[in-house]
Amino acid sequence: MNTMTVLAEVPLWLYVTACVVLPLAWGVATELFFRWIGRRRPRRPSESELDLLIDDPD
Amino acid sequence: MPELTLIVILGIILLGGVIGFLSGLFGVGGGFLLTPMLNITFGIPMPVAIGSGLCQMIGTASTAVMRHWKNTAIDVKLVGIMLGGTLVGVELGAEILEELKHAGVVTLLGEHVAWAWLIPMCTYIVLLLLIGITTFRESLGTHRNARITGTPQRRVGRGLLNRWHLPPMIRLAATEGTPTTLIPVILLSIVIGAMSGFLGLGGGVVIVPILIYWVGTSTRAAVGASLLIILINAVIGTVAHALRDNVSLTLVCLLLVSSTLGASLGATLHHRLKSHQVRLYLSILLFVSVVVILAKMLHRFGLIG
Repeated sequence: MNTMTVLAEVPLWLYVTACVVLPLAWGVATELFFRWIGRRRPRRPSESELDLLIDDPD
Repeated sequence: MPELTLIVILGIILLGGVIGFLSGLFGVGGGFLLTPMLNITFGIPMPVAIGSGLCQMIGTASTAVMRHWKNTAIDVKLVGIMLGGTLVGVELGAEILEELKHAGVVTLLGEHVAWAWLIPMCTYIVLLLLIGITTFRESLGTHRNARITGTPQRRVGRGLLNRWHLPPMIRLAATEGTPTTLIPVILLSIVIGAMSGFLGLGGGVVIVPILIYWVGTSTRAAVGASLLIILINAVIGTVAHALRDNVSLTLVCLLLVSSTLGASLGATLHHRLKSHQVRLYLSILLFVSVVVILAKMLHRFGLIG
């Protein structure tokens, strides 16, 4: 998509809003999707995670 | 903009995935790698690479912020204090860059190069090397210490600013309540913002080491706070660049397809690694970035093909 074409066809405020809302919505949707997948497949903590809880103070 | 052949599309998607993964893993926006890579590899003009890079950073940062918020509480008080200084600094850095644009060109090794290109590149190399060497030495020391004693040394509350007793002092959740002097934190955030505005960085690559070694936060708290600052900076930067027609939504969509997936995987891996391992890998990433920038500079001067 040529941005000049976009600017010529849609109002500037809509283009600027799309530039913020589009990636934000995509990022939130992706994370929610991963959480949904995670809830469907509960897993036990891995060895490294258990190790982390025991000896990694940071 | 280059013609979008299948190879170019696949290449951009692959680059987005790698950058997203690094973003989630280290709590950095990835701008210090993405922008030069888009320019060097795909010939995308720098203003469009910067604007589109910031726009896609909103996607990766929002995913990573949500993931970190779920696993570790983000210290909103620390973010609020730093954000004020950062925003002032961004404007300051952008103004310095604008002054350099008007300074014209310099002849170096028979090549005419703009001050606005040369100074940021040199600053980039010095800054990334300094942070890389400091982080590498510390994480290696912690790793050795952990092997001898069985547990890594605690760094929380032992930052440079925890040892100063310059009032006013604040207590932050990120430093587990250890008093931290306030004014240097604000001054530091202005400097961080100035470097972001000057170098076109999200700022994470600078914020994370400073929060760990100077403010005395845990690595996880530093990464979480850094991601939230990056997200807010990316939104402001995207609006500024979209108003100047520097954002290509096609490029952003291609990068988003893989970068958010990569960011989620990176954030998951971050919680499986030990903190000093994350710091060690971050320092290696910084050294690789320095090599890439040096190669770009040498290529510019015709010293390598």
